[in-house]
Amino acid sequence: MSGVFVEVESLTKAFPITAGLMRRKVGEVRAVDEVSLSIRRGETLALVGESGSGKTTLARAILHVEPATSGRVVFDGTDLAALDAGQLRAIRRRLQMVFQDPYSSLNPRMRVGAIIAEPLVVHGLRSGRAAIDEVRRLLALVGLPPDAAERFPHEFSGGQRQRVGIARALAVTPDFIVADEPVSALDVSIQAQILSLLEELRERLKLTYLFIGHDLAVIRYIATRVAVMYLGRIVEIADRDDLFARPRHPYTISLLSAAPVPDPRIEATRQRLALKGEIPSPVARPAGCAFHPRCPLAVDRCRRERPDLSGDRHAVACWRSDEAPALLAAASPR
Amino acid sequence: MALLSVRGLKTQFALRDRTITPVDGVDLEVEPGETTAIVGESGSGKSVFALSIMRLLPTPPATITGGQVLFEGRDLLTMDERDLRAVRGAKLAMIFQEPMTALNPVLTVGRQLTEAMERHRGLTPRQATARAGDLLKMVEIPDAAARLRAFPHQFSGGMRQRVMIAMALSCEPRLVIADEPTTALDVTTQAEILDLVRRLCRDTGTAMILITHDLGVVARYASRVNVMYAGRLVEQGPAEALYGRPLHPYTRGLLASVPRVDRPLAKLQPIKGTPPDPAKLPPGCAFAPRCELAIERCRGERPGLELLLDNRRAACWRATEVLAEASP
Repeated sequence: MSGVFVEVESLTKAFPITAGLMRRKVGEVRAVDEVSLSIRRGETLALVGESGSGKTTLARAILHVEPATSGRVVFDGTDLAALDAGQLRAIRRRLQMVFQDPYSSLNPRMRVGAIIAEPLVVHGLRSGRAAIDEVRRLLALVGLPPDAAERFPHEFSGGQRQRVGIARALAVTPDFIVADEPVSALDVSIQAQILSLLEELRERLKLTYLFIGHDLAVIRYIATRVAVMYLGRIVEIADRDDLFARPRHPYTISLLSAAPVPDPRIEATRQRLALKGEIPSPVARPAGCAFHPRCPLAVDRCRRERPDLSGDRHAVACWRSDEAPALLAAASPR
Repeated sequence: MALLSVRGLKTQFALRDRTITPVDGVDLEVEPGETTAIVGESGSGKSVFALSIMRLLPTPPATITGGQVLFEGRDLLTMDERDLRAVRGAKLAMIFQEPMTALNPVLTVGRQLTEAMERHRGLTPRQATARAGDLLKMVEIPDAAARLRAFPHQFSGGMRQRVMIAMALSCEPRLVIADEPTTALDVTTQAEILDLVRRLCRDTGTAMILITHDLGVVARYASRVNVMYAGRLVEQGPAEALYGRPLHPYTRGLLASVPRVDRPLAKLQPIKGTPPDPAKLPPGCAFAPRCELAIERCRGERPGLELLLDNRRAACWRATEVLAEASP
């Protein structure tokens, strides 16, 4: 793993809250709130969080699909916000996205060959015969037969459609791929196939991934580093093995203890760290540490002062992270 | 006597140009108070099986073409509508994946809760309202008494699921069928809801059929497991024994393809191929095209669910050989 590839600096994405006929702005929701992180070349950084945590909004802001309100994204040395439309289009070729639901992201009226060839043509990379050859190569790369090019998306199973989505993303030879819950909609046996494929492609094509997910088991398998998000902020970020072995944020511990393990003997002895209440709406973000109303460790300081991420390879935003080992021990199998 | 005894249940759908059989000869027993899981992937027929037991499938296109569903000794399949309605809701309840499909959007939550209790348990409106408030408290909805006057859309997804659980359990049923009750919810909400259901079922001695695709959820909440593939049960047994030593190649494949949160995994071993199209099932074992152990016989002849070990059944021609090889 060599060097920073994508640098995200204090990225904020706010959406206005409007009221009345004139859509007067009465406030704002910070879906992503001053997030900084760096993604190293060749790694898979996983963003994990529950619905409303802002993980998808963060990814879209990083890709400049929906530009951030403030902060910046430096991609391979280039500040995306400083680019004009033409330059942005050129660099976009290198940033691609794979979506959760391959059904809704593939045009049902186009044949799979045309779907995969479209980005080649749009970016002026291949046309005619050369495009057809390239489509064949891409289909083989993702494990689909050559005749798949002649068929329509509905003729494929969910897993095969996800392969088509991956082939399309790879058509323009990107080096950075954002995969937004790419296996969440798939069956268990198919999920494993797609995870294996993503892993194989990363090694073969020297790709860098930002992998968005909510299933910690999947993330433990695919990620090299993991960032945990809660209400628009990263609360913990660390190397994969370190995060799973020594989680330091109470929220991370509760997520880990909530995820069931496919082994009845282990489950029989596990304790779950239950949280109070539900995730608040980002509109009503609690003061201080946003997690404090649900946190079993919260003290006065947590209600008043917002903790920032601190630490180098394993960073955590929590005033009480020294107490984490005891909390973890209480939630572990005996 | 088993609380529920399903024998040879077969459900068919008449489509435009052909007939498919999403549930094809399923046998299942549920003892009072136990939680048994039906685990399978999409298209395995697990939801159709649940809806068939409840007789909630519209005819046409669905027809239950064979078998018996004995609940407390009476066959639900031959029961008339009036008796069936008395059983459903009172003794046999269902929790769905999407609560909005089960809740009426134009009635308050309180009204929906009291209606069933007035009908099935003969409570007066005043008694029913008091009990409805208790139920919302029981499923841990904050400010329960006031929330009785709210409509379903005024609850979050997790809270709505709690309302449906309160409804399902309002008449203290003997059996609850929960069909992917938490699939649409976040990880922590899922754990809270399932813990709650487990606790409530234990308190009242209610048995549960938990239908899911999630092998972790099964391991945490079920004591017995039924693995379904292409409309049939392929393996059946107590959870611990089945996870410890799966007998059917499909069960083994499933367990080898799930990543785990509690330990690092070097490599997943995905099952090759995809589940079969229900309209084009192979003549022999439906799993044979994906099975690494498949022999000629598997492609021509369909194996039945056989008792292989104490309390363990599997539908596989190769299972006895595999067992013999595995044990010294």
